[in-house]
Amino acid sequence: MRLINQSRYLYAFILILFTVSYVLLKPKPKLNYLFIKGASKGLFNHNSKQDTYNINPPNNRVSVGESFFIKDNENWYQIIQLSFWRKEHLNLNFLNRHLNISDIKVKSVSTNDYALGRFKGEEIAYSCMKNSNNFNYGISSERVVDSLDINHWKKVYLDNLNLVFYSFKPRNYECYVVLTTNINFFEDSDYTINQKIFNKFIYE
Amino acid sequence: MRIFVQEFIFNPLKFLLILVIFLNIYLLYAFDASTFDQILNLIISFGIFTSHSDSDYKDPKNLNIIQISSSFLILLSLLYRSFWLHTGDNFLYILLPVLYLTLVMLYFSFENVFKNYKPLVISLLLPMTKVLFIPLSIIFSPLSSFFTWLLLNAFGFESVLKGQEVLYNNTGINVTFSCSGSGQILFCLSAMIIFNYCFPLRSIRLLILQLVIASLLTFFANIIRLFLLALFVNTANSDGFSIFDYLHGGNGGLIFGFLSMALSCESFKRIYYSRAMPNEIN
Repeated sequence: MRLINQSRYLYAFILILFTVSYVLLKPKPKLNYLFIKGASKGLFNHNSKQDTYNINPPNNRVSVGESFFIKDNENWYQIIQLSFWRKEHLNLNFLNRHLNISDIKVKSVSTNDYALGRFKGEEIAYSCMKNSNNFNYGISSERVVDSLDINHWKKVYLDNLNLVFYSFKPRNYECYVVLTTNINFFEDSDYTINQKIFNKFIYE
Repeated sequence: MRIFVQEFIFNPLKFLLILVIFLNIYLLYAFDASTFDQILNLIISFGIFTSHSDSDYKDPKNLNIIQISSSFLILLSLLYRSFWLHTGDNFLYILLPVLYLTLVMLYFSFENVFKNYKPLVISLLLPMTKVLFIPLSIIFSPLSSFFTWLLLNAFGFESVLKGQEVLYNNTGINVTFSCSGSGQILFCLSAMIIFNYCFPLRSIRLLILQLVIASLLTFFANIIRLFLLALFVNTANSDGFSIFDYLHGGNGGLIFGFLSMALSCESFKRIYYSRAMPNEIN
């Protein structure tokens, strides 16, 4: 009987400890150290603390890391480091809202995709790049599925069940959003993309 | 105040139950669960607390160290997994039933826990609505499209039905799963089941009748919403106030949810009193 009474205090202590530690720590996707040679830090060359383009993550599915700005003779390249809880959560809609990007059109290049849009009067192309041949605008497609496509829904059902029971620690998916006025950037060869962006990366 | 202190502070089980309920409410809020889910969770929390207070739990007799350690083992596994919770994680919905189970396992024998199954069944309603959502939507999505098309034509708005799309005036609406009304129907049915535990109807037949009435009322309330969405689809994404965006978004949809809920509650009340009164007089 004494053991039962003691265990109740322990139960309450564990619950309170969990709540407090959760509120204080708020787990988020992890970000690796990144530095880009020859780039200036910040968004669109704005280094002031009162940056109008301050990007806050909408929820704990995504973490926003460092931002770098590169300018060559013709175009500018804005690179924003993002880390998602898992690859399935990759979606750049929140960035569209933060940066007020309008007239968005999604284009596909083999298995990858990128978006074209209008930002402060300029036409830009952007996508989240893992490397030069792996980039996506958003994994979750906007396609409306037929309600009687039973196989699709069966897959959704099983995937969801799987995620409930087997998604313990997050499998972070880190990628780098590249926004650029070079609208053909994502159509370029791997070599050109590496030359312009990825060869300048220094990771830790 | 003295009653409150006696009831909750000197009653550790109720205190812990309230702690569990509040933790669950906080997590649903923190992870942006839909407004419907949060309201349903509040109704469920009320149902669990009420039915738990009414339960006939006997003093712990057969409690042993294995049961207590199992309770802690489940609790720690649950909280470890919960540390990786994120927005859109469905694990959120099984927190309450498992937390409730670990709590009662700490106080009462398994035999006693399963004898007083009602609070446990109520706590399972939210995960059940998530499990049933896709199968129910497969049924309701084509039905909703058909009745919306029928209503539009009945009122003289010539429209065409193409699969789950209702085309009207060179535009149209696509009745997806979230628009099919199955979410609202599950919400309403869960509330009716909780009501039945708190204010029991006299027979299972009456409960089934009430569930059918509630489903029909909710389904047709959603048809009216879809009818208005089809009529005002041209206002979508327009500058200023848009009826389509309002009714399509959370708040406008809630109005119809509350309408069907109010009608279902009225129907429940009528069935409850019409059958209970003659017996009381006799």
